[in-house]
Parts: sequence; C-alpha cells; structure tokens
Amino acid sequence: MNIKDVYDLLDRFENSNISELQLEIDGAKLMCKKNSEEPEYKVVRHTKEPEEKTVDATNGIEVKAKIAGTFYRAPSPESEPFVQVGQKVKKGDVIGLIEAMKIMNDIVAPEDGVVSQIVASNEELVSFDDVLIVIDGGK
Amino acid sequence: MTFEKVKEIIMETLSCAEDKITLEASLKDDIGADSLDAVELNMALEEAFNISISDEDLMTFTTVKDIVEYIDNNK
Amino acid sequence: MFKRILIANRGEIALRILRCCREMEIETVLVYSTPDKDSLPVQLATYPICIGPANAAKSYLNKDIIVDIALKTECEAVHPGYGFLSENADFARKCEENGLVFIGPSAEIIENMGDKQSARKLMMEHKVPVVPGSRDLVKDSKEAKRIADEIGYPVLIKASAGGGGRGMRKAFSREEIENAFNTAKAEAESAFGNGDMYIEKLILKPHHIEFQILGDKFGNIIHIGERDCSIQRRNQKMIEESPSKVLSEKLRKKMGDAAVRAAKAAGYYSAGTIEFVLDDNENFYFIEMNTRIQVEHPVTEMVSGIDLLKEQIRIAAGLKLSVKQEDVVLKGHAIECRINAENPREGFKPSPGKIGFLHLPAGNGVRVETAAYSGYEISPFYDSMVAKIIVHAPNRLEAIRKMRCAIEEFIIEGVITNEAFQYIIMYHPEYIMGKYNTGFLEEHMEELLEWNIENGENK
Repeated sequence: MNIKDVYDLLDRFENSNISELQLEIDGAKLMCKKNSEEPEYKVVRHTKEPEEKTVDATNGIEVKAKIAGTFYRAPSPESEPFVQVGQKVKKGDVIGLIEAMKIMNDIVAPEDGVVSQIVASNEELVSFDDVLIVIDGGK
Repeated sequence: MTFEKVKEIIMETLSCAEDKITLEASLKDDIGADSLDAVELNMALEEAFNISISDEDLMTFTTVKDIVEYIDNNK
Repeated sequence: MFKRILIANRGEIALRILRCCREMEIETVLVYSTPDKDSLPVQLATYPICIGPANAAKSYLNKDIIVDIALKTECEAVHPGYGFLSENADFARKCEENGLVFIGPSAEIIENMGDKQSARKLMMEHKVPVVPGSRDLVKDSKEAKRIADEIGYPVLIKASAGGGGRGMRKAFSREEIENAFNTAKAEAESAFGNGDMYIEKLILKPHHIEFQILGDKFGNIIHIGERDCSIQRRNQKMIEESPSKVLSEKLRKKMGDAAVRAAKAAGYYSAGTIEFVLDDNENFYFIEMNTRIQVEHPVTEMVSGIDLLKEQIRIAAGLKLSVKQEDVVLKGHAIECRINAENPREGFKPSPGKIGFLHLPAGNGVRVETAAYSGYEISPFYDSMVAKIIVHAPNRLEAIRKMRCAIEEFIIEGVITNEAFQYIIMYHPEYIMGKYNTGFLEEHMEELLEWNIENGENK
C-alpha cells in the first residue's frame, strides 16, 4: 500500500458519498472522515435571494447603506427596534445598525422627520447604496 | 503527384477554377493572384508540404511549374 | 465540490467564471460596484451584492469587505479572475486565514513569483534559462565593459529605479558601452535621484511566447502548449494565438519542459502561465510567471479542448488533474482578437459610452467572450476591453480567414472600438507569414492606421 494507492483511495473516497472510512492493511491504518456537517460560520442567514422591494420616497428622504453588511433594526436581538413606522425622529438619532467586518456602524437620521417606510428587514444582508429607511421630512 | 496537390491548394486558397491551373499558367496573369494571394498561397504551401519558402524564393515563382519544381527540389 | 463561491471580478471574466459555475451547479455570489449594477454578470449571479462605489479601491480591491461578504453568504471559495486581486498575496492569505479557498495558488507562491529577483534566482537554480545579466549593481563603465564582454553584445543598460524607458541605453559594441553607461547613469541620477545600474542581454526582435501551466495540489504539473502574444502595443496584448508559427516541434518540447520545470520549482498549483522571451535563433529566457488565469486563456482551450476554468475550480476543491501530459493533444489553430472601446486614431484613447445596436459573430469555430449587450453602458472606470473574438480552424491560414469574417460580422454601434484596426492586421503580409515579433505594431503603426482610413471607419 504505497502513497500512490493512498492518493487514489482518497480521490475515490472524495468522489463517493460515504462520509467515513476506516482501513487497516499490512500494518498501515487509515481513517478518513468528510467534514459533512456545515462549515460553522457566524450566524447562518444570508442564503435566500434578495427580493425586489418597492420604495415609496415621494416626499421623503432615502436613508441608504454606506456599506454592505447585515442590517439590524435593534441594538440587540432581545431589545426593541430603534424606530417604528410613524415615529418622529430628530437629526442624528440612531435609527438602525449595519454590521460589516465585525464592526457595528450606526445609521443616523439625516434630518428631523417621521419614519414613513422601513425598507430593509432585520438581519438582512444589504448592499452598498441600498435604501434602508425612508423619512418624511418635517418641512 | 506534386502538381495535383499544388493545383488543389491553389484552387482552395485562391478560389479559382480548376481548368485555369496548368503548369504553364502564370500566377499573376492567368490565375490573377495579387500580392496578398501570393503571401497566403505561400503560407498554404508551407503548411501542406511542411517546408519553409523564403521571401526571395517566393519572388521567383511566376508560373505553377516554378512552384512544383521548387517543392520537388526542396521536399 | 464547492456549493457556493464568491466571484471577486467583473465584466467578461466574471461571466466566464459564472457560466462555468452554473455548469458545475455551484451557486455564485457576485460582488459589484454601483456602476456595474446593470451588468450581465450581476443579472445572472445567484446572489449579486453591491459592495461599493465605482472607485476600485472601495469596491473590487476592498479585500476586507469581500472576505466579509464571502463569510456572510457561506461561500467556500473565492475566484479572483484576472487583474484586481488575482495576484494579491495579502488577499489570498486573508482568504486562507478565514477558511475560504482562494481559487489560485497559495499566498506564498504568489509572493515568491511576484518578486522578480527571487523568481529569477529560483529559475537559475532549476536550470530554467534567464536573461543573462549582471547579478548585482554595476559600479562604473569599466565594470560595465567587463560584464558586457561576458554577456555578449548587444546589451541593455538600465537603472534599477528606472521605468518607461528613462535611464536606459543600448550598447551594440565595446566602443559604445562607455558612453552609453555614463549617459544612462547620469539620466537615472537626475530623473530618479538613484544611479544604481544593471546590465542585461538585449534581445533583438523578441517574441513573447508563454506556456499555459496546470497543476494540482498533489504535485502533478502539466503544460498545455504555448501562446504567441507578440502582437502588443506598449506591453498591452492585442492578439494572441496558439500554436506559434516560430516554434519548431523540438523547440516547443524544450520550452514546454522548461515551463514545467519552472512551475515545479515554484511548487505551483492551479492555472498559471510561464512567460518567455524568444530571439530569432531559438534562444529563450524566462521573464516571469503569471499566477492567475489570463485574459487569453480561451486560445488554449480551443486548441486543447480543456476547460481551464473548470480545472481551476476542480483543483481548488482538492481534486486531481483530469488530464495527464500525454493526454494533452493540441489540434488546429486558434487566434484571439481583443476588441477594446478605444480609438486607434486618437492614440488608442479609451472611448466608453452606451452601446446602441450590438451584433456578435457566431458559427463554426467562432467564440465570443463578452458581457456587453445592446443598450449596455460601458463605464469609463475600468479596463476598456469590451469583447474577445476567438476563432479555431484546422490550420493558421483558415483561422486568419475565419477571424476576418468574424470581425466583419461584428457590429457595435455607439462606441468606437479597435475592431477595424484588428481587421487590417489580419491582412498584413508580415502577420500572415507569422514571423512577426513584439516590434510589429510599432513598426507598422502608420501603415495600419492609413489602411484603416482607406476602407472606412467602423465598417
């Protein structure tokens, strides 16, 4: 059983659908196991296709993502969302978060106004420049 | 036979009628090959007979016979 | 095999990778910049994600965001394509550190082969010929004369800090060496404040011949023939073809073996290319190794029937090469013309814009790689290449004729391209004879531009 046979065996094992193999031949022991379970990354979430969104910003201001990442409506999973539709906000208020490269980025209201539409959903992977929230300007 | 093969190559490369291609036929006048045709014919002959034809030799070909003789001497 | 990979590129190569993934039933996450939002790859990718604005540094070159998105979307591998991050060792390392398979060689190999001096030393150790030259700096013209005698004239004297032809002089004989060395050194000192000088053999009428390498992670390495890329303008390739007319069978074998030796020396795996310069009496010298898939890879695919992108992905997934060296059989002749949005009569200035009507040639032995479509806006931010026309035929003359017909059929309105310029080259006697070298375009530029006017602009 030389190294070449081992490679062939590994190759065949790789292409087969058995996930575990134990072998003992003339003194040589071989144990192969496929890492069949899902590679554990951080929270598993972004697998569904982003659906089309209709943004109604007729007289509102579109608050866009300045970076691609995971959008959060609340400071932590248990707590209340920063804002609800219809809620009044002042310029500079934190109205959401985007986690990118393990850093939490605040999303702030650019003007005083009322939240008219929350376009992105919680924990959604948003693209750069995506519209997240629409705020009707007070004027 | 070299002449047969050369005739075939001329027909295909210069897309001209078979009856025009006789040993005495002049490449320029009878077959109407211009300078570009000459270069392309040269390429086709080189590839078909696996020989290389220098530019000087290429200049010496005026009739089909010149080509056939050149190939027979250099094969 | 991978279930999902991230594509960190754009345009025609992103589409090429994407199509390959669809065939292999691999889902694709495609990162893109805002101007590329309507591009074909973005429309076809499983998960397109915009990661930044036009500025490449903030999008296609943003290593951190790309790795972050790859992890967030559960990708197992990243394909960098060519250009952008494809030969960025840091990016490859960042992928490796985050458990992402970088579809290409390891970060270490990229680094080693990226450093010209260390690559050169490695080649010399493995008897791969390199351009003869002074190992270290040349102090004065007396030493220059000694080294020049060793190397043999003509020689090229160049400043180590030099570039763009500055601080460079040629010397064809012992009478010229002294003056050439001193003027070059003076020029280097005034231009770069650095008078360090090297001397190397000057290759006259050089041919640019590169060999396609394919290696797996088990140490198997093969080459898939050569590509002649001598038709280039200011080191930008315009036309590539395989096989090269200037290589005899014997020389092809010798260069192919040297290429495989070079790749083995580097411990290379994935797809790569060894670049040689070849002079007119069959001397060839290693120039550099490209540790990525190249723009002109389809030429090799057409003559070999091997799908290089598929092999790259299989190799990255840990599988063996599906082809042995003896299985590699090159058939017929293939030529690629790059169609760029540039205006040959204005110094090849880029000419981006909105494409009106677009018609692509097709038919037996004609392949077009492009992400362009009617109504697509070619953006001014990136490379000006719009399409690649590749033809394959039983021999070179038929391939040239097929390319003429393909270009004739190619219609792209609303954007000026080099299409007519490429078409004219297909009629140039020196090109047809196949004896051209890297000086071809500079030598015949006026003539080609003139012909270009005579028979009309973009046909």
